[in-house]
Amino acid sequence: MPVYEQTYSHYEGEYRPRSLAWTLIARRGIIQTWRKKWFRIILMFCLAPFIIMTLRIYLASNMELLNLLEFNTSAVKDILNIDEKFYHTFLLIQSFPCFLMTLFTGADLIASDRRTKALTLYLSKPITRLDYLFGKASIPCFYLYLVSMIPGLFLMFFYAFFNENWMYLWENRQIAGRIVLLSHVYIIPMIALILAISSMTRSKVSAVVMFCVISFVPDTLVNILYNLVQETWINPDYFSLFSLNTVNRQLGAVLFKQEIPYDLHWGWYVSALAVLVALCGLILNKQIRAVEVVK
Amino acid sequence: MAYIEIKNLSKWYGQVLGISGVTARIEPGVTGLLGPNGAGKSTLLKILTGQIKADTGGATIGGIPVWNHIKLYEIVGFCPDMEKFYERLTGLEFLTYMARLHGMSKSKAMQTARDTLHTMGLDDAVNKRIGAYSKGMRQRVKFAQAIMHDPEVLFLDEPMQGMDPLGRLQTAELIRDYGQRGKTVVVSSHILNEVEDMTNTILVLNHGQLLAEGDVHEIRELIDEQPRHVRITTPERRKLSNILIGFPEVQTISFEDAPDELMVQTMSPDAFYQRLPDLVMKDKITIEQISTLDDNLESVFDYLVK
Repeated sequence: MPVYEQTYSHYEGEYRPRSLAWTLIARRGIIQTWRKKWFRIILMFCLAPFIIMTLRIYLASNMELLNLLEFNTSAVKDILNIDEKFYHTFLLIQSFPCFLMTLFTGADLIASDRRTKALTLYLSKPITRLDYLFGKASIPCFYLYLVSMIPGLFLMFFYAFFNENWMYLWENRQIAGRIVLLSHVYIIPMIALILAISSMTRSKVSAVVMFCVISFVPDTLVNILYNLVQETWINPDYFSLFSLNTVNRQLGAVLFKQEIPYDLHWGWYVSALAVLVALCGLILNKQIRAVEVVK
Repeated sequence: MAYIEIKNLSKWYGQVLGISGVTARIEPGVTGLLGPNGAGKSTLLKILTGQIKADTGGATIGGIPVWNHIKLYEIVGFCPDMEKFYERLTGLEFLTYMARLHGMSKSKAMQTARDTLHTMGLDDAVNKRIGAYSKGMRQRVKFAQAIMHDPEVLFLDEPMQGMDPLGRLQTAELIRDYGQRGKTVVVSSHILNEVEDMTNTILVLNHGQLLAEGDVHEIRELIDEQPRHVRITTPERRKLSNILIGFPEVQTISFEDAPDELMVQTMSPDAFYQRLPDLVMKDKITIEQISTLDDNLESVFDYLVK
């Protein structure tokens, strides 16, 4: 048996701080996603409401232009009223683009790594499973910010800009806070859900189908059940807790002080989201492993 | 102390056995990890690379436990058994990314990636997408990501699968070179002559258990109760067989399909070999070739597993 000199030693060189390991995964994923032409088209489509809303702000800030065009009716004035409801409406509209972004950026994130067994590549590097997860989650998160929170805040900025009233931003800082909060109400559960789904399959198509089913089927079921139990002792509002879209709508209405669709305390809806995120976390903890057991 | 110490390592996936009670010491140099599919080779490598936690027992590299020591992975290289990966990235992009995951700066990572691609003979494929690589090129780029940070310990899971003969030769040389530099290399394979090209030191796993460890020839001594087979090529095989049948150490003699070959089965190969010069000198038998069929890893593996 050969006898070798014990020349090995630990590497003493400089390494990037451990806490930043996830940013590499995030940056790579964001760039890779951006490189896809079809994705950029979808992103433009998702930002179309933002362009329309910006136009509304512009018109609202230039009423004399409408007077000139003789469009200054009361109905038009109502549409051009820029208040809390305006921003809430924008975020309500953006819930669908958020869904699309989550679907297109998140469905294959972990599924592809499982399909190609690339998880072992990551997990054998000096990064933790949490680094891997944060890195992966940051990819849809970045694009979801691009279609929800960032354009929402930009609308406020545009209003201040078109009206040359920078105090507007300070005076309405609560609206900015609500935009940030509601965006996260959308983003966090959706990312948790898509990552959990993506970790459960090797197929992108399966992940897409599962995410669509979980996003839309409960809506229909909630509506059916709601109508079925109207005349019974059961409080039908509780069913609204089982639909992600309904929960988002309810919390959006609470945050922006709009009329709430269901008569339940907002704590129930926050709890429902917390349970969903916790469940997704458990699934991810179980699925992000270097091995798959073939039984 | 061995560089890698494995003590009573067991891993179960529910009802499915991964590995069971494996205890081994791996010294610097190249060690072959042999076993059929499902023997537990990949599980053992994944435990040693800190990807999964053992249910019982433990393993250390340089005295440091392998589980949950992220810092340790900086000196470990792993070439997993995977075929498709990052089809859209070029070889250079992929390796730069992998180097950055190891903590290198962008410029250092890019330079290291280029150097490693050169070492692996992939200069022409630097800016080609991995999706367009041949299977052998993919293997090489996968191997490259394992060695690019010059690890002290290298774990290779079926590293030569799909490589062309030249690629195999180069890779085997590279692995041998790594071992000779005092690094610890563990190569898993089920193609036994592949491992034989790189090392004589092996660990044999089957059904999750360690069947044997050590030098191929040391293992041969363990299986001395098994008969050896010697193939003799001679134009006088009938005359030779008549003489051999009288030797007490010869158990059986059989004629091979080829008209000038016969197979001798013996329990005492050394005694048998000592008689061969007399056959030539005294009995004037022409012997063209003698080959010992059991001196390769394939036979050792077969004996141990069966």
